[in-house]
Amino acid sequence: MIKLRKGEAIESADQDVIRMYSDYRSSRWKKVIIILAMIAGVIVASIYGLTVGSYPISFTEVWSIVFDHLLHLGDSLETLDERVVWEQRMPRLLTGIVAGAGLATAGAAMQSMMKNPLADPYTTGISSGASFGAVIAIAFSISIISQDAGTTILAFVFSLIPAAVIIALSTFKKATPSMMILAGLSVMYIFNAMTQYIMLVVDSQTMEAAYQWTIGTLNKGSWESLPIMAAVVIAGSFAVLCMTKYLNAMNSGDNYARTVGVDVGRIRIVLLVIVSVISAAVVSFTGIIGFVGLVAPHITRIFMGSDNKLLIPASLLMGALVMVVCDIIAKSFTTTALPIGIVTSFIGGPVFLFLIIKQKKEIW
Amino acid sequence: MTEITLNKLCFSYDPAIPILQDIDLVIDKPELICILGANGAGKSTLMHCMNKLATPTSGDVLLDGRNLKEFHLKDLAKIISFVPHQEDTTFSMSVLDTVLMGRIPHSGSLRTSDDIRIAAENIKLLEMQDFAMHNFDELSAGQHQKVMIARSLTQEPRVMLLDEPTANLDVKYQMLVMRLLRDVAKIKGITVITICHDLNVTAMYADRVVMLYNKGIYADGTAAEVLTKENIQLLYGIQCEIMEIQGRPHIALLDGDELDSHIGDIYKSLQSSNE
Repeated sequence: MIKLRKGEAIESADQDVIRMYSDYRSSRWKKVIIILAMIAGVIVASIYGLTVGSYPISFTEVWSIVFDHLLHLGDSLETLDERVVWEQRMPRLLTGIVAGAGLATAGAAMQSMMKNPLADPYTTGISSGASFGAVIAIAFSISIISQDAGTTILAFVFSLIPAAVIIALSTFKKATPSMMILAGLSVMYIFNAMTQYIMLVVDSQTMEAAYQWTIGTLNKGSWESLPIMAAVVIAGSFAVLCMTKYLNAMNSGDNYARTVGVDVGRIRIVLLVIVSVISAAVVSFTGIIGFVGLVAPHITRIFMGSDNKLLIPASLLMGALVMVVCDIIAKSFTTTALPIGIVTSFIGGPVFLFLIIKQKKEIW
Repeated sequence: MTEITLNKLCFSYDPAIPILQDIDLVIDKPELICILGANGAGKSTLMHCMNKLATPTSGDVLLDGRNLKEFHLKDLAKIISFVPHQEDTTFSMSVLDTVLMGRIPHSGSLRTSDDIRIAAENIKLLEMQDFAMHNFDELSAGQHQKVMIARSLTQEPRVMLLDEPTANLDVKYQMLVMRLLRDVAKIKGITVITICHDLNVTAMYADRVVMLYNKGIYADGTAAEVLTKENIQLLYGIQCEIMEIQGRPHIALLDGDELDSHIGDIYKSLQSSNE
């Protein structure tokens, strides 16, 4: 029966307390092992993924080119095989890993901070802003250094506008999840209307180029774009990882979070900026890749639970894994370079439905 | 021991409709204080004013003489914990992970062994040890309440605020929780302020009862002083008899015509058709 002893706490020699402590520790270790298995999964999938492509190069040849080039960085690429492996497949693979990791991290953070299982990195209108930026760059041939760089820069800048609007609104009205989502939706409709108008008035060739941009693809991945994208995703993900205890508290409601010392309005704005910058960096280089940001965190929840301290790093790995595997599928079963955005949704949707049916625990 | 002083506190959402007016209250002893009042009397609002969830329209809340406005949220969280009326979790975590949230004001990004021990001890205190690794969503409403109280204790506060902690609990656990809160106040020296609707549980365990009526404090004192026939009739508009059992008042509520004024026309027509 409940009876307090004098003094601060019941002795930790209590058998039940020891059992709970060891159960907790062992459950955490199991989850750490799952994270290590996911890291191994990303590595194995990457090793295999690099050898898959429409241009036939053997497994050993691919990896001897990789090691050879790593040992002699800066050497010119002489053969076609070398160029295919080092200039096409490698940046594509790494772009996939970085993009998947970034989108899944952003998605998991967005779901917790918005308290909404349907939230994803694009919830606040990032994708519509990016599309609009890219479409005006393509339609009006805006070039910054080059045409491609112009498209990327404009996509990046416009994808941050919805977040800027929400931050501006938060000075007048409390930044609740509903306010942020509705404000994001409003901005999204405005951007979509403007994008559709431009698409209507431009010629069919420009329209096709603009449409192509919006479909997420890893083909645009290059050694030039990768460091920028990777730097933003790594820094952003690290920042989100540092804020997991706030995400956990916000998951229990704004009022509760405030009573454990979380300045909910400010933290939500900071997280919105971080998530927006991560997503904008990915979208502006790859186009709109759907599914990963929404579902990778949910798949991860099934194995890891909803404690953001583990969920965020595991989602990051799950995003990378899903992307690499989907890219392998895209390259294995199609002769044309099918955009990854189509494959992630087409393969991932049924897989997720299967997991929803199979999972026994109440997660959502 | 922490002293809470409410000084001419007023609160309203709309200036034309005040909810609380000129509330003066001093809480200077670590005891179990129950706030009573009819629905809409402003009990939760009063509680929210004590932990910065609501900002008073005028007047001050002082914590050991220092104005609440001067407290940073994190510093306040080390002093005051809060048990909401209902948990508002979107993505359910394990019971132990949920209780560990109480350590947020004290810990950094990583959980220490001490954090886990303190959380486990409080789970044991609420007799939830067999559910520690269960998902929060798998528990009953009463068990949710116990987890939230354990989480609040894990915050190691000097003041605990609880918004109807016995709602959803069966009679045994209502008594158990109230006794626990009384003992926590006495042994740990924590000031426990709770909103309660059950008059008898309040009478049985409360060290002090504060009765809200007509936007202000109508009565303040021991259960015997506050829970009188007249006060209950005024507050709720119902008849009752007061007895003394185990040295404390026991309230027997009586069904009477007073309730008719609150009964809607549809129900009245149902009554007459039955006759």
